[in-house]
Amino acid sequence: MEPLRTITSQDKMVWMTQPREDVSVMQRTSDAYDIAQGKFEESGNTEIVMQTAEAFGRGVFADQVKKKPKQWTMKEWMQVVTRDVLNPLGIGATITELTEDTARSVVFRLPLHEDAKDPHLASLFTYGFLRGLLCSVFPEGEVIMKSTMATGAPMTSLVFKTSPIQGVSPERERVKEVFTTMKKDA
Amino acid sequence: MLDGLKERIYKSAQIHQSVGVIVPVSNYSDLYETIMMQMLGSKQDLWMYVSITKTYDTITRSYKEFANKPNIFFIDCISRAAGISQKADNCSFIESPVMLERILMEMMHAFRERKTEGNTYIVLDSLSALMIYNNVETVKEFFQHFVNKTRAENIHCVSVVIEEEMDDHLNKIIFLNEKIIKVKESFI
Repeated sequence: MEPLRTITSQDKMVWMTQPREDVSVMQRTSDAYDIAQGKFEESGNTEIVMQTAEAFGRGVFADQVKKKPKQWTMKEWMQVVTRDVLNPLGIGATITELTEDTARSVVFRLPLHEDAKDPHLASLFTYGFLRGLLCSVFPEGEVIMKSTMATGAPMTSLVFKTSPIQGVSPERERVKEVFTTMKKDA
Repeated sequence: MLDGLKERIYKSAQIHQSVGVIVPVSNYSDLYETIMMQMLGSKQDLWMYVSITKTYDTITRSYKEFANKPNIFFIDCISRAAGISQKADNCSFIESPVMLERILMEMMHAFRERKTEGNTYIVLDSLSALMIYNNVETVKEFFQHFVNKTRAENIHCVSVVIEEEMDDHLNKIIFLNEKIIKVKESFI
C-alpha cells in the first residue's frame, strides 16, 4: 500500500496520508510529550520543549526509517516519513504541493493535539518534532508554520523546505515566540 | 462567551434559506464550537454537518454526546480518502472529497430518511476546504446545485469560508447565498 494516496480532480492533484495507528509509536510519542510538558512546567521555557521535540524527532527518524534512498529530495523525504512515522502516528494530512525542494501541507487530524490537555504545548511539540524529522535529512531545512489549530485555525498549515528561505528570519525562533506569548496569555 | 456569535448565526439561518459565514482563521474554532453547541442543544430541529475539514472521529472525540442524538447526522468527506475505516449510525463516509455529486446524493437521502416537525439545517464546513481538492468551476457548480436543492426541500443551509482564503472565485461562490455574515471579534 502506498503511504500517500493521490487524489485527482480535473487539473488538481493532492496527496493524502493514510493513518494506521501503531500503538507503540504513539505511546513513545505520548511519553516524549509528557517529558517535554514536565520540563516546561518546571522551567516555563519553550526552548526546552522545542529542543526535546527536535531531539525526539531525530531519534524517531533514526529508529523508524529502515529503507533510505541514496539521494534525498523533498518528495523522497515526504514519502518515507509518511510511511514510517506520520501514518503510524495517525496523522491525517493533505499535501497540496510536492516538488523536489518544497512540500505544502494541511494537517486535519493530529491525535496528540486532540488528546492533550494543553493544545498550545502539543502544537509546539509537534512543530519541533516535525522539524527534527526534516533536519535529520536536510540539516538546513525549514518548517514554516502558516497557521495552527492551537490558535483557532481549522487545520494546521505547514510548509517544508529543504533549505532556508533567504531574507526570512529563522522560523524556529518566530514559532517559539508565538507559543511563548500564547502561553503567557493563556 | 460565544452567545453573541451563536445568536447571529442561528437567527440568520432561521430567517434565510442560505447563509454564508466568512470567518477569520483565528476565529474558526469559536465558530465551530458555536455550531456544535447549537446542534447539541437542539431537540426539534434536524441537523446535518458536512465536514471536509475534520474527520468524524476527531469531531466525536471532542463531542461524545453526538452518539446519542438521533436528530444530528454527519457526512464525512475525508476519512475514507485518508484510509480511516469507520462505521457509525449517524455518519455517512464519502469515498473522496472530489465526489461532490455523491455528497449531494447522501445529503438528500439522509434528509428523506429523517423527518422532523422543526426546521432542517445543513452546515457545509467548508467551501475553503473543498477548494483544496477541487477546481473552482467544479466547486461553483456543486454549490449552485447545493443551494438549489436545499431551497427546493426547504432546508436551511450554512456555508463556511475562511476569510484569509477568500479570492475572487470564492467571493462569487459565497455570494450565491441569500445572506452573508462576516464574523468579527465584536460578535464574540
